[in-house]
Amino acid sequence: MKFFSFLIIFIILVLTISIKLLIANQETKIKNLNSEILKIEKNIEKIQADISYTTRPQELKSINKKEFNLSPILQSDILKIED
Amino acid sequence: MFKNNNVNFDNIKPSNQSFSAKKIRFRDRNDLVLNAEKERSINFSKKSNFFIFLLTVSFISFVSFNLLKISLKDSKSVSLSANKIEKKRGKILDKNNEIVAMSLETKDLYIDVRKSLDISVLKENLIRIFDRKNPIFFERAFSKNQYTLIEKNLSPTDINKLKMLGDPAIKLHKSNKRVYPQHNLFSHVTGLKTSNLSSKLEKNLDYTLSEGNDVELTLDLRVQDIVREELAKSLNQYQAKSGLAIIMDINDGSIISMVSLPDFNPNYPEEILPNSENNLATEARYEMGSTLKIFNAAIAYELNSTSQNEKFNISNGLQITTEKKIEDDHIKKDILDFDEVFIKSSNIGSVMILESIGYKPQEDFYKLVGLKDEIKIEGLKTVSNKLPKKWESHSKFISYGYGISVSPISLVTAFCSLVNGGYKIKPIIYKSDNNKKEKKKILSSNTSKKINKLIQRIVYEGTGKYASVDGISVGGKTGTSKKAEKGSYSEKKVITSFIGVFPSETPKFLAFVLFDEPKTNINNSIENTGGNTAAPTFSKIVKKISPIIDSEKYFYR
Repeated sequence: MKFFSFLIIFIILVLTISIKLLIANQETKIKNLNSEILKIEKNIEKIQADISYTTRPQELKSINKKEFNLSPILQSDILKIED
Repeated sequence: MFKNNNVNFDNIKPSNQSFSAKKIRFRDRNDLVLNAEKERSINFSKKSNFFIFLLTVSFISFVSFNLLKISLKDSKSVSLSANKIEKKRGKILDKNNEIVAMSLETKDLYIDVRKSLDISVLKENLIRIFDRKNPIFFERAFSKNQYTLIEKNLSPTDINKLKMLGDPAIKLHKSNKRVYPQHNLFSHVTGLKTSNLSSKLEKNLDYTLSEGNDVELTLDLRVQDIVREELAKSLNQYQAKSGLAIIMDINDGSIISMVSLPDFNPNYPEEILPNSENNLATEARYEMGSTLKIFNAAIAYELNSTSQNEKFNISNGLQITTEKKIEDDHIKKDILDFDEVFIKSSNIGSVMILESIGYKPQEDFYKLVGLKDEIKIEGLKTVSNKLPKKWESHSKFISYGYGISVSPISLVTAFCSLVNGGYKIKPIIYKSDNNKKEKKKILSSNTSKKINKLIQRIVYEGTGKYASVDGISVGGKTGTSKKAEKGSYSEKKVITSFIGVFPSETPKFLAFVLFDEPKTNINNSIENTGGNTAAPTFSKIVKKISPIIDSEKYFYR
């Protein structure tokens, strides 16, 4: 009986330590993943800012003026379906 | 039978009869002592087993509790880590998720002069890298001999240059910078956010944004750009002091574009001029002039007034007070019918219609459409309309747009009720659960239909002819008012405006354009009016934006 009790205590002790270590390991992994996500997010945001700057209407207009010289579509250029 | 401490030894005799023996041996014939000892041993075992059992249970409970605690703590720490990622200041986006404002991680430069390898070399290098800064600044920074901030929000190029110097005095600290990729386009809506300054949406929605939530505007970047471009061109052409434009969905109150000029670039707060800070669409009020006349027509329609069938003689002018006589010099006809009063924008006709209706219905109507209340837009600062102290004495002036100063957003919101089937709407600038679209029927559909027909005639037959657009029917009302200066009205300075809807058969969108003090106009005629300044600008704007915002009924998007 005593042996059995001590065995249970020992097993639980081992289990607890294992779980704790496992959690610690997972926490480290999550922290690493989070820092990776943050890094990627920062890069994405920088790229998004770049895209926003380079595709802002004023930039697009100046590119159009230099390279394509396209005219905007006006209301008068559009035929309605019922027409 | 036996107690441990009181054993009766009557039946025990010494085994050895010799009393000279040193040790006396007793013999327990009935094993009473042995039994007593066994009994004690059993009791002790029972107690110790029970104690171990308790110990085991306590330990298991303790371990279980800790396991539970660990698992709970673990899930909490994970969620905290996740929050850490989200807790960055949110973006401001347009209705198509184009970025209007966002935060970027940058670096600030500090120098710790005491750790420098060579102070004079470092100073020279910094002066070279930051050549836009005054060298005296560096002289002062290095003379302090302490930890000093040199430059905030360094560019990647500057960071590389600084790293190349390799001086231990250079300290780079992480920092956040709010950037506005669209420059001036949304400045009067977003405002700006720096470490010590914030305004407009950035200020009023600070909590939402700082919690990491994005704010999605109802504004459309494409429309905003077109509106600003055309307004800026017209402002320049008419040499006006300032100008503004609002585009609104008349059915749900969402503002598609809001431009106020002059504006500013929120990326450079130090360059903002005092006259460009205010959003004139919400933070200014004007005597609107003839654009308010249309409310007279609406009152007459709503009350089914007999004035609708009357004729109005405007040839002799009208004495409205003992001192004030008004004339309609711009109208060639002497007798006008009800519709012509609005088509030709007759002040006299408008006052006569009011006299027929009475001042009380006018006051009640202005209250009903919200012109007497302060309009609120979530996230933006607004001003209340300036109302006359005694409505009765001002009602005639109000009938042609004087004596009451209203904010452009207030006028636009009230006008929506006239053209959208009679529903009162609440203007919104950003999408939110709190910004639920409110709609309340306040006018009859018949009144709204009549108003839409009337404003269409104003554009095709009357003062608003320059507002017409090829390919789409529009309706609207022009407005010109003299500016009040030092207690009297200026003869030269005017406010010109045009408020209109498109497509006018079944209006969906409203556009309002206003210029403050235009000095020339589209025809270079002597008089600057809403018809020759704001109306043509309205036309140019609608011509370009209607294919974008009213695209659902066409072949493409």
